[in-house]
Amino acid sequence: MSELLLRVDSLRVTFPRRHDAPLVAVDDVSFAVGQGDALVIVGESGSGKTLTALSILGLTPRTAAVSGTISFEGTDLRALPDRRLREIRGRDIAMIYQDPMSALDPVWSIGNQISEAIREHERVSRASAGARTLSLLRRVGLPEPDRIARAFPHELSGGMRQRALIAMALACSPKLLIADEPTTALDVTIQAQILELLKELRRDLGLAIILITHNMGVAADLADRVLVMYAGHAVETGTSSRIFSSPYHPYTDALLRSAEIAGLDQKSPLVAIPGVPPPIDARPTGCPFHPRCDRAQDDCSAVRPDLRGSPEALVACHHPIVEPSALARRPEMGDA
Amino acid sequence: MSGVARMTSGLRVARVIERRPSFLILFAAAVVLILLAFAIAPGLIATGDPIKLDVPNRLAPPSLGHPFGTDEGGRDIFSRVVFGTRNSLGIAVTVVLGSALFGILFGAVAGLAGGAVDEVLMRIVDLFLAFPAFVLALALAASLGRGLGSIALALAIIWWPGYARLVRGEILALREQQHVETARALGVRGLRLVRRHMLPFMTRSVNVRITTDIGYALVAVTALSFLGLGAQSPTPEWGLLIRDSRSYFGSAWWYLLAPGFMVMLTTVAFSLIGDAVAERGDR
Amino acid sequence: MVRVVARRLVWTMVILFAIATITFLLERVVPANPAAFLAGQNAPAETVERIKVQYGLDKPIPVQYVTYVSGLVQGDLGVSFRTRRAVSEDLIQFLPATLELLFVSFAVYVALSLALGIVAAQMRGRLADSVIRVTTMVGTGIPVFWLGLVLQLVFYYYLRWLPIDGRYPTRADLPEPITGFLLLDSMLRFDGSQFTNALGQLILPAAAIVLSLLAVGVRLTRAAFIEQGERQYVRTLRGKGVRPSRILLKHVLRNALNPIITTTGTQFGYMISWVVLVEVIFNWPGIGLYAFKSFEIFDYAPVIALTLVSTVVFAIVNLASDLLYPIIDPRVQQVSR
Repeated sequence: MSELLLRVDSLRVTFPRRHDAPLVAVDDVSFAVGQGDALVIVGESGSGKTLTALSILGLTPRTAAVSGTISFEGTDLRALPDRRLREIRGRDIAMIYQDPMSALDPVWSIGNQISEAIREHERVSRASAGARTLSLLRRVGLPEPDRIARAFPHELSGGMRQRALIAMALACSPKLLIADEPTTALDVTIQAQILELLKELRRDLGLAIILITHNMGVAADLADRVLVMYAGHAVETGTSSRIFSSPYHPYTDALLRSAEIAGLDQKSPLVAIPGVPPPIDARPTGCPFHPRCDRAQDDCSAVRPDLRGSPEALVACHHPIVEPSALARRPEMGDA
Repeated sequence: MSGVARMTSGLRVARVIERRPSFLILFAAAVVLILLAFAIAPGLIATGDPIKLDVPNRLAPPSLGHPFGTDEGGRDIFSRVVFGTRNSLGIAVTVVLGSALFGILFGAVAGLAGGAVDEVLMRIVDLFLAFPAFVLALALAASLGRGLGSIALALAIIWWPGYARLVRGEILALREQQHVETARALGVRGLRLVRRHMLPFMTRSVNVRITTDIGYALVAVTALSFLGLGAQSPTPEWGLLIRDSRSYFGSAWWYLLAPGFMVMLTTVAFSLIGDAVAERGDR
Repeated sequence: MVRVVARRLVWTMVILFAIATITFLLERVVPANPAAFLAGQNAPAETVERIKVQYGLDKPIPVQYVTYVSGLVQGDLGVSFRTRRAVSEDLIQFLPATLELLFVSFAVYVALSLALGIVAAQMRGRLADSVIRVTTMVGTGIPVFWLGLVLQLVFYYYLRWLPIDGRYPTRADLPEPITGFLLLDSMLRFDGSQFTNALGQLILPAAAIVLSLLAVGVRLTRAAFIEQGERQYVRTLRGKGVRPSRILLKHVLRNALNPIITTTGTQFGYMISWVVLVEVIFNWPGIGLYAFKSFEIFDYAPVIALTLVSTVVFAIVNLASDLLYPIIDPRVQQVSR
């Protein structure tokens, strides 16, 4: 991994309840992202992946209790006062969202919202911001940028809106882009285009990307490294090449198999993973995946597996498909 | 945390339903029951005669014998308030129920018929709603002649369009619902359709409206009487009492406060009940 | 957009015609004896006869209607036998006072309900929010005319802080009107004392109106702002690093305006309605008091004219607010009902 940009340690997001134990949405998740890296966080709905992403910029709901360290270029983001955090948001770290229509303000033009991103962080004239807006729109592949800049969100197609959202995120040349399921709400052909755009931007701008998705195919396309989440836990991490060729965790394996088959032959039956992810208030004891796992044994329902393996290849499983090599311990803080 | 952050609430987690303390509901219900008693059997509750003069005792401050004091004729204000319940609140209730009945029918016809009939009927409703309500009621009451009957009629005339619009809106929404479509496919039509498949779902919003409207109607009735168009002296009526109290502000504050407080209390009570009925349905 | 305006204008014309028809009915058809209605309760028989001929009350209704409407178009609103003048002349004299009271009340109402509503939304769940909500809830129950009287009782009879009678202190000299709006006139003249005099008289009547309506406005603004706060675009804005004040006042406000405008229009309708009551209570020399004094002594032409004028004003305000929707929200293609 190249120079460290963002480091998340033991992130926990819980929702306290009045007369009950708190609901745990994200349980002890850690990861790191370096300059220009692409990390993809994969998981089904309810895995906590979106909350993880939102925690980075402090955008979790006010009812959520967040703990752990989130440090960006050495600064602990969670300890920052609002004013300082606002400087980082949109300027050093930017975020794009799943549904661009609801993510954009419907009553202001696209150009206005992009220029706003610029002028909030830099003292530039309106004209100068306007010019930069146009070039940003061009950069994300939108034709007729001046028409788009004057348009309102509801006047654009889904794909164009998402491109505009990306343009807005890039307004101040951030070092890190967090993309929360940016293609889920779009047509399949547009999905591919947006992913291509993201890859291109990463190449040209040296942008680091954290992409959240439930689609393994997207992960395969973009990722350097992958973090697999299930029911709020990180169950496996590793490089993209290793995970796709030799997954350790049964869940990862199942995800891969269902993605392959879905992509391959339209006529063969969809092999979904039997069962559904557990709801947040009814998490199983022991390993959260054990009710759906065909490798489950007695200890799986009793003891929660910790992440173990080498820093670049971790798995949280008592009986993984492949034992992780080398050190059977979790990396401590301070490890490279 | 900034105010904006505080304003933004949970994405997926269930919201805490803000529960109103239920003692307010009990309080409101108690008020309504008391008013009902006032209206039905004023003679039993009032301590004095609302009409008979007792001049030596005029403008006496509140006391045990006269809880609300006496007016310029020595009459017990509390008794006048109690007897006046029928005239003020009673008329208000009549207005609301009457206009609701007419409005509901009107709106039901419009909603069911659809098409041109609906257009025309709704235009009529819009026309009525284009008038500032109270001013029209004023003019109507003036035209019809003075007295409680006139203002009742005048207010009913301006009140019904609200119900027509409400009911028509509900019917339009309900028409799209699965169970209604099924019923229509099976041949259920018209009034039967409304009664069996729509009415149960509409009752809540209509009831809420009726309940809160009673308060507003009461204010309108008293306002018109205050201006001299409704009840005429010496009929006890809350608005009229307020009107009469104006000359004696400096010396008899209780004269102004008692009837006005009754209006306020009544309106708040009905609003609370209306809110409670509304919230019940949301559970 | 032009189509929208055109449609609204046509509808407004329809309303004006309807108003005229209804006032016609009120004047000529509804009363048991239209001639006596217009001549006044205690008018001698000859006057009633004269009125009958003068207004053509013995002619068939359709003919009367035509004469009535054509008279209206020319500005003939009848005659007030109390003032012995054409009602239209009286209205011109008294209208500015009413308009000034209305405008000031409306402006204060809008400013306060927005401010308090925003504060309540921001302080959601905290003490300030509860205080605002409880006090405004009680406010909905207080009839405006009683509130006005109570304000008089407290602030004049007991505290002697504020005046309650009329538009200008009787001891001072009422200056020559320029626009008819005292506040404006005093500003044009740079006359500080005139301004404070006029303002002082305005406070209580405006307060009565504003306080009666504030409850609804605050609750609505609060609800609208809270609802907008749940929207995703607010999260995007925070993620962009936009400062909270801008999020609130540039984005949330504009999005929240739609329901606020609708209700504010209705509130203005109430305001117009209640202006009669307030003018009566505070002896404010506007068209409301004028109409009241007349119908007290059975002179009804002014009250009919009042209905006409108020409805026209209300229709104009509704038209304006309907036209506002497409302006504040670019998604609105046409005005829907």
